[in-house]
Amino acid sequence: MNCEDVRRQIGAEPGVSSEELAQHLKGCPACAEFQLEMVALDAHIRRALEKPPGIARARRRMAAQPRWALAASVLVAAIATLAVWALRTNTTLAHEVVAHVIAEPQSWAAADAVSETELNDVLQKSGLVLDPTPYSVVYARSCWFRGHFVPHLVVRTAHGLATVLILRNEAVATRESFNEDGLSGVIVPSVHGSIAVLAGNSAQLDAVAQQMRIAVRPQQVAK
Amino acid sequence: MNDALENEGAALLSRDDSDVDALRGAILQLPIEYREPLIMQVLGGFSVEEIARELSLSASAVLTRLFRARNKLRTLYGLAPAPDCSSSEAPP
Repeated sequence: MNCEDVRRQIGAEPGVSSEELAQHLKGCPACAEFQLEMVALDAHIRRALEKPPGIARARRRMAAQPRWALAASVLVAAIATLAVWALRTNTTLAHEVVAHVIAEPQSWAAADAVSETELNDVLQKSGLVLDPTPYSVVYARSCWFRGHFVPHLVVRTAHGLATVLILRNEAVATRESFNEDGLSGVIVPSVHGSIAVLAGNSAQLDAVAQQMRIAVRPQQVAK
Repeated sequence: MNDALENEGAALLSRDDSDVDALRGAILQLPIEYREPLIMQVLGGFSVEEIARELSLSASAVLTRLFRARNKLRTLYGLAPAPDCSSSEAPP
């Protein structure tokens, strides 16, 4: 087993060991360091996919502060809270959308288009239908969000994957963009509530939002 | 996974939350053929054989994809990519 073989093996399965690998690592500090880096990278990947946004950061910040600083920061936070009260709803909405998407990382692993039946079932739970769009839907779930079932879709676009949440019960006055926890997003008003679109880059957000705004409509109720 | 090994590695590769956020963005931008097995392995705890079965690939193709996925993410961390001499994946 040479260094190249070892690095390929570690790169594919950093946590897996074998006698032959262990033997090599004993005599090769460079490969041993490579393994440490890869194991650490895996821990970061896990953390990136599992970490709820904002919480770990806030906790660490509070623990590091002396008591007077904590009191001051509480005061500043209280004033800031009052100052942004009018903006509270939308800011919180964007934050909650990001938190929801991050809590469902398996949605990003989807590859195959979901069946029409599956997609319709999800939309039906929210009383919606989706007219054809240029995108294929690779993930569709009906998620409980702010007291309602909300269609959570992932669509494949020319620029990669984009997450779409159709928020029938959340009204926003104007387009709002955000960038949080490695995700770019927009929430746009729609005739039927609002639509949130998130992706790893911002290239496609408005185009997807516009397409979805046109394609989403309420189910017609039979009289 | 050996905890001691992970702790030692984490010390070598100490990062803050903004890096983790950037890493999440980078994972999202990985091509689907790399992202899918990586998430299945790291988050889902699937073995290489299980991933191969799920994705209808050979085990060696899965290993290649996992290696390339991590190699792409390594560069994000300013680490030198490991040499990748295989020009193609083994067939399923």
